[in-house]
Amino acid sequence: MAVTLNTGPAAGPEDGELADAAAIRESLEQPEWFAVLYDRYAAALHRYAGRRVGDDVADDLVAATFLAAFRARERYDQARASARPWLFGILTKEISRRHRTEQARLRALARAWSERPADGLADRVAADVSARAARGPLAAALARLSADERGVLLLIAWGDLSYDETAQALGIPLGTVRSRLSRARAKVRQALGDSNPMNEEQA
Amino acid sequence: MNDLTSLRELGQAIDDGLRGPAPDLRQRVLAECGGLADRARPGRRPRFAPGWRLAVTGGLAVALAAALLAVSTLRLLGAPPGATAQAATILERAAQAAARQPDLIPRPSQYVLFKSVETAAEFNGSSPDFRLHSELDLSWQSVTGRRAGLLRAQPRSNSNLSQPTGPWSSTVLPGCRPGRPRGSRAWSTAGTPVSTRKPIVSRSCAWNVAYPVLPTTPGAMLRYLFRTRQGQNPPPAESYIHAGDLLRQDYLRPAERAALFRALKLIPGVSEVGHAVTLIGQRGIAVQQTYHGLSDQLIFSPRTYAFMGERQVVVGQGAGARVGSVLDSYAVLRIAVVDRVGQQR
Repeated sequence: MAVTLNTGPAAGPEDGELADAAAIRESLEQPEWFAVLYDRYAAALHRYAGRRVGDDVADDLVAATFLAAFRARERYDQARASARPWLFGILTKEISRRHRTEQARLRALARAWSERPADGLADRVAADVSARAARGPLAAALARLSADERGVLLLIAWGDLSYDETAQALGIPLGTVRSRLSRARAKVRQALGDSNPMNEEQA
Repeated sequence: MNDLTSLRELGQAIDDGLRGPAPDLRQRVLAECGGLADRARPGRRPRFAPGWRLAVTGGLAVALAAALLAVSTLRLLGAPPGATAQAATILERAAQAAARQPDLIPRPSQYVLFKSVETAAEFNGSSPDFRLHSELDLSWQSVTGRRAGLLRAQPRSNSNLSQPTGPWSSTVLPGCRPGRPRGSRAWSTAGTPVSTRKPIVSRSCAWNVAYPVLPTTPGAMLRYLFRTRQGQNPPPAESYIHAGDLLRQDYLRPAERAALFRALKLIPGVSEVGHAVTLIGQRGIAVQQTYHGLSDQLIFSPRTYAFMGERQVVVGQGAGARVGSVLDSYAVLRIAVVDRVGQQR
């Protein structure tokens, strides 16, 4: 008589459902678990850093971020299931060391977009014309923000972090996030003022 | 379009000019992380701990996602892609011998009997000196895991294993009843068996079956070993250790056993040992995996290629004992299917 037996592990998290915090905890004993974090966040971190400082510098900053995170993984707050704010916080510190690179890049982008003529077929679409026209002034405005203001604004606009997560990432109170954000947005709106009349609405 | 929307549009426009992460970035980052970890000292994993089966449950849950990592981990460690040719030959012969064995299919009401003798090293603090402890073990495990089993052990003289040095101890291996677990976990996860005749209520009783249903192809078996391995040594070492655990602790059907030996051929770092002696003095040939200064050897009969036992020999620094010492040693005496707990033949 054939015997059928249950096989495989007992009930547990599905593949890929393991919380970041658990992967970090596992990585204390089995470092290869850290690859879970890399695979989950490297693309987003790289895109964020690439926007701010360009691809080549982004490679170095993302590598530095993961190494710093790996070294600090023992101190990771296990109450925080998602490591996204933590990693973006480390990356923000790395980017702030490249303050000059970022400003030079933003000024170059501002110049390039101001000079580029908007005459392609796609540019006849009104929304696209307005968006394109805004790029140069936006890049210039970002270059003029303080590093703190830019950090908060871009974590929210480009990093898709919530206010709470931004506060966690930067290790600052929620109120500070709100005040830096509103100052930064005011400056950006001012810069957009001429090219974009549709910016009355407030966050 | 408000300012945040404009900013997002700016971000997307910048993205168009980006190429993304360099192709070797992942490798670079993970290799450096591995380098950092290597500088931290991994621990020697205690072997042959009593109550092993009860301790398994917690680890299985966390092992799930590791499957995703198995392939990349192999590459990450930069190890050669499998066992040495001589080791592969031994393992292939062992696989062929295993596949020729009769396929024994126990009934659900039956028990699998394991009879073995083992010697384990007990360290005291960080001193390189250790004490040996030997015992004869008999265990009866319910085929379905639903019925209570029994673990009996008798301490034996290290120098003369047929000489008892103390009374038998008995530990009931609780049965398992499928259902919704209530309250705190009814068993210890620290590896200590709980002496109770009450069944443990568990969502699945798979953890308690006398023998798991295992893959029968080498590739699937290798993935299984990676996925369900435990411990903090490098994955190729832990997968090999896990294979040894299965050989010692589970009844494997012939096709599974053959797949296991063939999977070992695929694990990086596995090599051959000219000759090795089992705990009960049988001379054999062995394959080994070396980690943390230890050579972990699986010993086979040079004539029939039957699996005879396992031992750990200190071959380098890091094990915390003198080079040449044999730390843990195990010989299988009998694996059989019986009708009742306590029955030996």
